[in-house]
Amino acid sequence: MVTTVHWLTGDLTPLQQARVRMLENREWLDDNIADVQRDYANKWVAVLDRQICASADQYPRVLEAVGDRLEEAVFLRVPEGEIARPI
Amino acid sequence: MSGFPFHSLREFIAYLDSQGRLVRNSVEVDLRGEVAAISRKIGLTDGPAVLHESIKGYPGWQLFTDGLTTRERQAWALGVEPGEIGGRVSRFLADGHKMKPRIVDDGPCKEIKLLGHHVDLIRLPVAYTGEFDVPPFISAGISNAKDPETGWQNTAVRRFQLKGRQLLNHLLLPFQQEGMIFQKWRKLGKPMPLSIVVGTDPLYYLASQLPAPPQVDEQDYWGALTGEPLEVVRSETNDILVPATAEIVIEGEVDLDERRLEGPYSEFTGYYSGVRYFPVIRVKAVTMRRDCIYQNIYNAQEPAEGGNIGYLMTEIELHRQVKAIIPELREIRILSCWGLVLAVSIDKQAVRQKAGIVKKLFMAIKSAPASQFVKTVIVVDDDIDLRNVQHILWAMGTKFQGSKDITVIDGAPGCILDPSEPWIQRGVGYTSITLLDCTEKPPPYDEPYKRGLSIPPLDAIRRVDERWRDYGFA
Repeated sequence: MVTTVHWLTGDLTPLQQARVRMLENREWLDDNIADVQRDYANKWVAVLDRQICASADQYPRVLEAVGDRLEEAVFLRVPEGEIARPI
Repeated sequence: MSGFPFHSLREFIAYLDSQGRLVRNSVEVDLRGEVAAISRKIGLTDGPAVLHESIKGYPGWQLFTDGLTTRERQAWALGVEPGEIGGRVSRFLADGHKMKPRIVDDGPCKEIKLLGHHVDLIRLPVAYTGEFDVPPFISAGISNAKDPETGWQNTAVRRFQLKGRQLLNHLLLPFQQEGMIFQKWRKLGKPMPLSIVVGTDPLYYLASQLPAPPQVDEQDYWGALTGEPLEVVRSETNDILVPATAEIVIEGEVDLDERRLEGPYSEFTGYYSGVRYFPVIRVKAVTMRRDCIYQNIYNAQEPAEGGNIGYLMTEIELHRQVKAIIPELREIRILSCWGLVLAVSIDKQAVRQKAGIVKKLFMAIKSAPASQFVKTVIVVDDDIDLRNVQHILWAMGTKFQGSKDITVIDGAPGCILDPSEPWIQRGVGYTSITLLDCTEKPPPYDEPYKRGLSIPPLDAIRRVDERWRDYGFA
């Protein structure tokens, strides 16, 4: 039997909705990391709406670019070269 | 002491409250940075644990942190005085006592059950630690996996990055026990079942950090340390046993083939790990207590709860392993970064009587299995209090000469998270290990040593100790 309470099954709060979009943006980044590495290696990137919305040498620049959509944005300093797969 | 053993996180929280070591924070906190910044300050000030009662964007949730940040609270969790922790746990490990958990049919951790498509990890108040660990990580998750060949259950604190509403990324390392179990499931061609416990009694966290050999379940230590069996229930979707009073249990399967980018993560070195491909966990069920408490462990530049838990157990295990080779070893204390800097004391008489014993100790330390991260070792005489960094530095100031008391071995096993490692052209994981011999050297002494240590007369020191409270000191 499944027992639930409202805060586990009701509508998502705006912050939780933003987190859903953040996970989608990270999924996009993971799926496209090879292209992102090719174009932005050693740079900071910000991802919004499943695309790169800003790139820069310094993190504050990409942070600034996402404005009030911080909770749904994903940031990464793009690594150069092959990414390890330990297991 | 009263309170021990604690049978749930709630019992521990109530005890901390009764001892004045809990803050119930009713001010709304933000999961993005604020929770971590509060924990950082608690670590820096040896502050109390905190139960956040209002979480921005997460109505109905409470979030607990810093239960085990201080040695005092770690001692309470183990049912001993702070100064007795090492001896108690060492004796326990030497005795080899174990007690199997007692399986019960039901427990508070199953008051709420979310199965299949009802699972939504977005609804958990997962806090950020560093600014760049996006998405955030479940940092206080205790991972439980079973060996498919023998049924052995391994229990260990791990980290899990949110990757989807029913998906987590799992830092699964091939040289760790859970990684070895995963390889067995891979041979069978079946995904590895996993149950992650978030929020449980403090001893369960500490026991999970104890160095159990393969085929020994850390859960068995709980009963041996308390004298009563841990009550456990079976997970809903697999046969893994979890504490019946846990706040949250996340059940899933580790995919054999799919890898996603895990990281960056705020590490104990105070820097971030990079991104690497690690397996994903497809979450099948979440069970929890009604009005459950989410637990978070802050892990970043020390002092921090995550490191402090690990340091305690590493010190104890390293002491046990090295003592077997060098009986003259007295104490071991991690000064920084899980052993990147380590202080060790040795029998002062032995240093004078046994040629080369300090270097032998140094080599024994780095050869011990628990010394994975050890890089710089400061060895002092046993009249130095390792809990007092000023004493250690005093020994360095007065007993150490750089021209003859430093030993460096290059190309030793290191820690890939140490950003100072010279990895270019050699690969990560190599380091230089350094001995700083700060013991008093055999005679002939220079003139200052001949007069002896400059302190008040011993009878005056004794008298002051006896009358300390009479003077008005607490």
